[in-house]
Amino acid sequence: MSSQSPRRPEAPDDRFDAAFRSWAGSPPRTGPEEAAGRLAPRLPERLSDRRSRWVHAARRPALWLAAAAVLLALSLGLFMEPPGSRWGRRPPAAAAAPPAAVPLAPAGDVLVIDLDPETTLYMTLGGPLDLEAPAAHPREAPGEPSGDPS
Amino acid sequence: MPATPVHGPRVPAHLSGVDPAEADLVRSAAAGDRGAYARLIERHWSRLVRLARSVVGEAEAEDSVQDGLIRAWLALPSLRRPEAFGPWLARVVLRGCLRERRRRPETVPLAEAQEPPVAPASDAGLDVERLLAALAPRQRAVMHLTVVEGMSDGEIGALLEITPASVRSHRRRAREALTRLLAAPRATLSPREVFP
Repeated sequence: MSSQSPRRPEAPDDRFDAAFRSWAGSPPRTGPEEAAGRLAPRLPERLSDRRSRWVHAARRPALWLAAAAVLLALSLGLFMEPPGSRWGRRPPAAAAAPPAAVPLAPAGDVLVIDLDPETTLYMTLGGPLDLEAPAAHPREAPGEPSGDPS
Repeated sequence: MPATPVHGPRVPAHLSGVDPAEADLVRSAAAGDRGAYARLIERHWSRLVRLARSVVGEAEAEDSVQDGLIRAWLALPSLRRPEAFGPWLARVVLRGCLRERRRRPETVPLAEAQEPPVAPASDAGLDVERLLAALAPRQRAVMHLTVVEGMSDGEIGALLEITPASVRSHRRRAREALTRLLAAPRATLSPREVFP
Protein backbone atom coordinates (compact mmCIF):
# COMPACT_ATOMS: atom_id res chain seq x y z
CA MET A 1 0.00 0.00 0.00
CA SER A 2 2.68 2.43 0.96
CA SER A 3 5.25 3.32 -1.68
CA GLN A 4 7.61 5.04 0.68
CA SER A 5 11.11 3.68 0.70
CA PRO A 6 11.84 1.26 3.51
CA ARG A 7 13.80 3.02 6.16
CA ARG A 8 16.22 1.67 8.63
CA PRO A 9 14.37 0.84 11.83
CA GLU A 10 15.33 3.40 14.38
CA ALA A 11 14.28 3.33 17.94
CA PRO A 12 13.43 7.04 18.24
CA ASP A 13 11.29 6.88 15.11
CA ASP A 14 9.42 3.81 16.23
CA ARG A 15 8.91 5.31 19.64
CA PHE A 16 7.61 8.52 18.14
CA ASP A 17 5.39 6.70 15.63
CA ALA A 18 3.76 4.65 18.35
CA ALA A 19 3.19 7.72 20.47
CA PHE A 20 1.94 9.65 17.47
CA ARG A 21 -0.63 6.99 16.56
CA SER A 22 -1.81 6.78 20.11
CA TRP A 23 -2.11 10.57 20.40
CA ALA A 24 -3.82 10.98 17.04
CA GLY A 25 -6.23 8.16 17.80
CA SER A 26 -7.91 9.97 20.64
CA PRO A 27 -11.41 11.13 19.69
CA PRO A 28 -12.19 14.79 19.11
CA ARG A 29 -13.65 16.80 21.96
CA THR A 30 -16.79 17.41 19.92
CA GLY A 31 -18.59 14.34 18.66
CA PRO A 32 -19.56 14.02 14.97
CA GLU A 33 -23.31 14.43 15.54
CA GLU A 34 -22.80 17.43 17.78
CA ALA A 35 -20.39 18.99 15.30
CA ALA A 36 -22.78 18.46 12.40
CA GLY A 37 -25.68 19.88 14.40
CA ARG A 38 -23.65 22.89 15.42
CA LEU A 39 -22.32 23.56 11.96
CA ALA A 40 -25.48 23.09 9.89
CA PRO A 41 -27.10 26.42 10.95
CA ARG A 42 -23.83 28.23 10.25
CA LEU A 43 -23.70 27.13 6.63
CA PRO A 44 -24.12 30.22 4.49
CA GLU A 45 -26.56 30.35 1.63
CA ARG A 46 -25.05 29.76 -1.76
CA LEU A 47 -25.93 31.98 -4.70
CA SER A 48 -26.48 28.90 -6.83
CA ASP A 49 -28.95 27.55 -4.25
CA ARG A 50 -30.93 30.76 -4.37
CA ARG A 51 -31.16 30.52 -8.16
CA SER A 52 -32.10 26.86 -8.09
CA ARG A 53 -34.86 27.61 -5.59
CA TRP A 54 -36.35 30.02 -8.08
CA VAL A 55 -36.08 27.45 -10.82
CA HIS A 56 -37.75 24.92 -8.57
CA ALA A 57 -40.50 27.36 -7.63
CA ALA A 58 -41.08 28.20 -11.26
CA ARG A 59 -42.17 24.65 -11.81
CA ARG A 60 -45.10 25.02 -9.45
CA PRO A 61 -48.47 25.33 -11.20
CA ALA A 62 -49.62 28.04 -8.81
CA LEU A 63 -46.84 30.30 -9.98
CA TRP A 64 -47.73 29.63 -13.60
CA LEU A 65 -51.37 30.45 -12.87
CA ALA A 66 -50.43 33.70 -11.17
CA ALA A 67 -48.19 34.66 -14.07
CA ALA A 68 -50.99 33.90 -16.55
CA ALA A 69 -53.46 36.02 -14.56
CA VAL A 70 -51.06 38.95 -14.49
CA LEU A 71 -50.50 38.68 -18.24
CA LEU A 72 -54.23 38.50 -18.88
CA ALA A 73 -54.88 41.56 -16.72
CA LEU A 74 -52.16 43.47 -18.52
CA SER A 75 -53.44 42.59 -21.97
CA LEU A 76 -57.06 43.38 -21.05
CA GLY A 77 -56.04 46.71 -19.63
CA LEU A 78 -54.22 47.43 -22.82
CA PHE A 79 -57.15 46.73 -25.14
CA MET A 80 -59.83 48.28 -22.97
CA GLU A 81 -58.32 51.74 -23.13
CA PRO A 82 -59.68 54.13 -25.74
CA PRO A 83 -57.79 53.99 -29.00
CA GLY A 84 -55.04 56.50 -29.27
CA SER A 85 -55.02 57.28 -25.58
CA ARG A 86 -51.92 55.30 -24.75
CA TRP A 87 -50.51 53.08 -27.44
CA GLY A 88 -52.62 53.92 -30.46
CA ARG A 89 -51.77 56.44 -33.19
CA ARG A 90 -52.36 60.03 -32.31
CA PRO A 91 -53.47 62.62 -34.92
CA PRO A 92 -50.45 64.48 -36.24
CA ALA A 93 -49.83 67.71 -34.41
CA ALA A 94 -49.22 69.62 -37.68
CA ALA A 95 -52.75 68.96 -38.81
CA ALA A 96 -54.24 70.83 -35.89
CA ALA A 97 -55.30 74.40 -36.57
CA PRO A 98 -53.20 77.10 -34.92
CA PRO A 99 -54.86 78.74 -31.99
CA ALA A 100 -56.69 81.89 -32.89
CA ALA A 101 -54.95 83.85 -30.15
CA VAL A 102 -51.63 83.95 -32.01
CA PRO A 103 -51.35 87.43 -33.63
CA LEU A 104 -50.48 87.58 -37.28
CA ALA A 105 -48.43 90.41 -38.68
CA PRO A 106 -50.25 92.50 -41.26
CA ALA A 107 -49.18 92.09 -44.87
CA GLY A 108 -46.62 94.66 -46.05
CA ASP A 109 -44.64 94.86 -42.81
CA VAL A 110 -40.87 94.61 -43.24
CA LEU A 111 -38.88 92.36 -41.03
CA VAL A 112 -35.26 93.54 -40.55
CA ILE A 113 -32.69 91.05 -39.30
CA ASP A 114 -29.03 91.98 -38.73
CA LEU A 115 -27.15 88.81 -39.70
CA ASP A 116 -23.83 90.46 -38.76
CA PRO A 117 -22.68 94.07 -38.37
CA GLU A 118 -22.27 94.48 -42.14
CA THR A 119 -25.17 92.41 -43.40
CA THR A 120 -28.82 93.17 -42.91
CA LEU A 121 -31.66 90.99 -44.12
CA TYR A 122 -34.92 92.62 -45.12
CA MET A 123 -38.05 90.49 -45.41
CA THR A 124 -41.35 91.93 -46.53
CA LEU A 125 -44.33 90.07 -45.19
CA GLY A 126 -47.17 89.49 -47.52
CA GLY A 127 -49.92 87.12 -48.56
CA PRO A 128 -49.90 84.92 -51.62
CA LEU A 129 -51.65 87.61 -53.59
CA ASP A 130 -48.77 90.04 -53.00
CA LEU A 131 -46.19 87.83 -54.69
CA GLU A 132 -46.96 89.21 -58.10
CA ALA A 133 -46.46 92.83 -56.96
CA PRO A 134 -43.77 92.91 -54.27
CA ALA A 135 -43.60 95.96 -52.12
CA ALA A 136 -40.76 98.35 -52.73
CA HIS A 137 -37.84 98.26 -50.34
CA PRO A 138 -38.29 101.06 -47.86
CA ARG A 139 -34.62 102.13 -48.03
CA GLU A 140 -34.27 101.87 -51.80
CA ALA A 141 -35.06 104.88 -53.85
CA PRO A 142 -36.35 104.24 -57.37
CA GLY A 143 -33.50 103.93 -59.85
CA GLU A 144 -30.81 103.05 -57.24
CA PRO A 145 -29.06 99.64 -57.34
CA SER A 146 -30.34 97.24 -54.78
CA GLY A 147 -28.15 95.23 -52.41
CA ASP A 148 -25.70 96.04 -49.74
CA PRO A 149 -25.09 99.79 -49.49
CA SER A 150 -21.44 99.26 -48.62
CA MET B 1 6.89 -1.35 9.49
CA PRO B 2 3.52 -0.73 7.88
CA ALA B 3 1.62 2.04 9.45
CA THR B 4 -1.63 1.23 11.13
CA PRO B 5 -4.26 3.65 10.02
CA VAL B 6 -6.57 4.95 12.67
CA HIS B 7 -10.11 4.47 11.45
CA GLY B 8 -13.07 5.84 13.24
CA PRO B 9 -16.18 3.72 13.13
CA ARG B 10 -18.07 6.33 11.11
CA VAL B 11 -15.51 6.88 8.39
CA PRO B 12 -15.89 4.31 5.66
CA ALA B 13 -13.65 5.94 3.10
CA HIS B 14 -9.96 6.47 3.20
CA LEU B 15 -8.78 10.04 2.99
CA SER B 16 -7.13 9.28 -0.30
CA GLY B 17 -9.73 6.96 -1.70
CA VAL B 18 -13.10 7.33 -3.33
CA ASP B 19 -16.40 6.17 -1.91
CA PRO B 20 -19.17 5.55 -4.44
CA ALA B 21 -21.63 4.95 -1.59
CA GLU B 22 -21.55 8.56 -0.46
CA ALA B 23 -21.76 10.02 -3.96
CA ASP B 24 -25.54 10.41 -3.65
CA LEU B 25 -25.15 12.32 -0.40
CA VAL B 26 -22.58 14.55 -2.06
CA ARG B 27 -24.87 15.23 -5.02
CA SER B 28 -27.73 16.13 -2.69
CA ALA B 29 -25.49 18.40 -0.65
CA ALA B 30 -24.20 20.04 -3.81
CA ALA B 31 -27.81 20.72 -4.78
CA GLY B 32 -28.32 22.54 -1.45
CA ASP B 33 -29.49 19.75 0.89
CA ARG B 34 -28.09 20.75 4.28
CA GLY B 35 -29.22 17.49 5.87
CA ALA B 36 -27.13 15.53 3.42
CA TYR B 37 -24.14 17.73 4.15
CA ALA B 38 -24.67 17.24 7.89
CA ARG B 39 -24.49 13.48 7.34
CA LEU B 40 -21.28 13.93 5.38
CA ILE B 41 -19.85 16.00 8.22
CA GLU B 42 -20.68 13.19 10.65
CA ARG B 43 -18.85 10.69 8.47
CA HIS B 44 -15.67 12.75 8.06
CA TRP B 45 -15.50 14.82 11.22
CA SER B 46 -13.28 12.63 13.40
CA ARG B 47 -10.71 11.95 10.72
CA LEU B 48 -10.48 15.60 9.73
CA VAL B 49 -10.08 16.75 13.34
CA ARG B 50 -7.27 14.25 13.83
CA LEU B 51 -5.55 15.52 10.72
CA ALA B 52 -6.01 19.17 11.73
CA ARG B 53 -4.83 18.42 15.25
CA SER B 54 -1.52 17.22 13.89
CA VAL B 55 -1.07 20.35 11.76
CA VAL B 56 -2.42 23.21 13.90
CA GLY B 57 -2.56 21.65 17.35
CA GLU B 58 -5.35 20.56 19.63
CA ALA B 59 -6.54 24.05 20.53
CA GLU B 60 -7.32 25.17 16.98
CA ALA B 61 -8.09 21.87 15.30
CA GLU B 62 -11.87 21.88 15.55
CA ASP B 63 -12.18 25.55 14.57
CA SER B 64 -9.97 24.95 11.55
CA VAL B 65 -12.04 21.96 10.48
CA GLN B 66 -15.27 23.92 10.87
CA ASP B 67 -13.88 26.73 8.71
CA GLY B 68 -12.80 24.18 6.14
CA LEU B 69 -16.22 22.54 6.15
CA ILE B 70 -17.91 25.88 5.50
CA ARG B 71 -15.51 26.60 2.64
CA ALA B 72 -16.16 23.12 1.27
CA TRP B 73 -19.92 23.67 1.49
CA LEU B 74 -19.62 26.81 -0.61
CA ALA B 75 -17.34 25.15 -3.15
CA LEU B 76 -19.20 21.84 -3.29
CA PRO B 77 -21.17 22.57 -6.50
CA SER B 78 -17.84 22.85 -8.31
CA LEU B 79 -16.76 19.33 -7.30
CA ARG B 80 -16.77 17.34 -10.52
CA ARG B 81 -16.38 13.82 -9.06
CA PRO B 82 -18.75 13.34 -6.11
CA GLU B 83 -17.23 9.94 -5.33
CA ALA B 84 -13.90 11.66 -4.60
CA PHE B 85 -15.46 13.85 -1.93
CA GLY B 86 -13.27 12.49 0.91
CA PRO B 87 -9.86 13.43 -0.52
CA TRP B 88 -11.26 16.71 -1.82
CA LEU B 89 -12.62 17.64 1.60
CA ALA B 90 -9.34 16.69 3.28
CA ARG B 91 -7.50 18.89 0.79
CA VAL B 92 -9.78 21.85 1.51
CA VAL B 93 -9.32 21.45 5.26
CA LEU B 94 -5.57 20.90 4.99
CA ARG B 95 -5.14 23.94 2.79
CA GLY B 96 -6.98 26.01 5.37
CA CYS B 97 -4.82 24.64 8.19
CA LEU B 98 -1.60 25.41 6.31
CA ARG B 99 -2.83 28.90 5.45
CA GLU B 100 -3.76 29.46 9.07
CA ARG B 101 -0.26 28.44 10.14
CA ARG B 102 1.33 30.80 7.63
CA ARG B 103 -0.90 33.65 8.79
CA ARG B 104 -0.32 32.94 12.47
CA PRO B 105 3.17 31.50 12.89
CA GLU B 106 4.01 28.95 15.51
CA THR B 107 3.94 30.33 19.02
CA VAL B 108 5.40 27.34 20.83
CA PRO B 109 9.12 27.97 21.16
CA LEU B 110 11.45 25.14 20.40
CA ALA B 111 12.92 25.25 23.88
CA GLU B 112 9.54 24.29 25.24
CA ALA B 113 9.25 21.52 22.72
CA GLN B 114 12.46 20.01 24.07
CA GLU B 115 11.36 19.98 27.65
CA PRO B 116 10.09 16.69 28.95
CA PRO B 117 6.35 16.59 29.20
CA VAL B 118 4.92 17.32 32.60
CA ALA B 119 2.06 14.96 31.94
CA PRO B 120 2.86 12.38 29.27
CA ALA B 121 0.25 12.68 26.58
CA SER B 122 0.80 9.30 24.98
CA ASP B 123 1.53 5.70 25.79
CA ALA B 124 5.19 6.08 24.89
CA GLY B 125 5.62 8.90 27.35
CA LEU B 126 6.22 11.55 24.70
CA ASP B 127 4.41 14.82 24.40
CA VAL B 128 3.62 14.42 20.74
CA GLU B 129 1.99 17.80 20.32
CA ARG B 130 5.06 19.59 21.59
CA LEU B 131 7.32 17.53 19.38
CA LEU B 132 5.13 18.25 16.37
CA ALA B 133 5.23 21.94 17.21
CA ALA B 134 8.94 21.88 16.40
CA LEU B 135 8.20 20.78 12.82
CA ALA B 136 7.06 22.87 9.89
CA PRO B 137 3.30 22.60 9.25
CA ARG B 138 3.74 20.73 5.98
CA GLN B 139 6.12 18.29 7.68
CA ARG B 140 3.47 17.65 10.32
CA ALA B 141 0.91 16.95 7.64
CA VAL B 142 3.25 14.54 5.87
CA MET B 143 4.02 12.77 9.13
CA HIS B 144 0.35 12.44 10.00
CA LEU B 145 -0.61 11.08 6.60
CA THR B 146 2.33 8.68 6.65
CA VAL B 147 2.28 7.41 10.21
CA VAL B 148 -1.37 7.69 11.17
CA GLU B 149 -3.17 7.27 7.84
CA GLY B 150 -0.61 4.97 6.24
CA MET B 151 -0.86 6.72 2.89
CA SER B 152 1.63 6.35 0.06
CA ASP B 153 3.86 9.17 -1.13
CA GLY B 154 1.75 9.54 -4.27
CA GLU B 155 -1.46 9.80 -2.27
CA ILE B 156 0.07 12.30 0.13
CA GLY B 157 1.44 14.30 -2.77
CA ALA B 158 -1.98 14.41 -4.39
CA LEU B 159 -3.53 15.60 -1.15
CA LEU B 160 -0.91 18.26 -0.47
CA GLU B 161 -0.52 19.13 -4.14
CA ILE B 162 3.21 18.46 -4.13
CA THR B 163 5.35 15.81 -5.83
CA PRO B 164 6.13 12.46 -4.20
CA ALA B 165 9.77 13.54 -4.10
CA SER B 166 8.78 16.57 -2.04
CA VAL B 167 6.80 14.30 0.25
CA ARG B 168 9.91 12.18 0.84
CA SER B 169 11.97 15.30 1.42
CA HIS B 170 9.51 16.67 4.00
CA ARG B 171 9.39 13.32 5.77
CA ARG B 172 13.16 12.96 5.83
CA ARG B 173 13.60 16.43 7.32
CA ALA B 174 10.87 15.77 9.88
CA ARG B 175 12.50 12.47 10.86
CA GLU B 176 15.88 14.13 11.22
CA ALA B 177 14.44 16.88 13.41
CA LEU B 178 12.55 14.40 15.56
CA THR B 179 15.61 12.20 15.92
CA ARG B 180 17.62 15.18 17.10
CA LEU B 181 14.90 16.21 19.53
CA LEU B 182 14.50 12.75 20.96
CA ALA B 183 18.20 11.93 21.15
CA ALA B 184 19.62 15.20 22.39
CA PRO B 185 19.94 16.03 26.05
CA ARG B 186 17.51 18.64 27.22
CA ALA B 187 18.04 22.27 26.12
CA THR B 188 21.15 21.62 24.07
CA LEU B 189 19.64 22.11 20.62
CA SER B 190 19.04 25.43 19.03
CA PRO B 191 16.33 25.94 16.42
CA ARG B 192 19.06 26.15 13.77
CA GLU B 193 20.17 22.64 14.66
CA VAL B 194 16.67 21.24 14.45
CA PHE B 195 15.99 23.00 11.14
CA PRO B 196 19.34 22.90 9.36
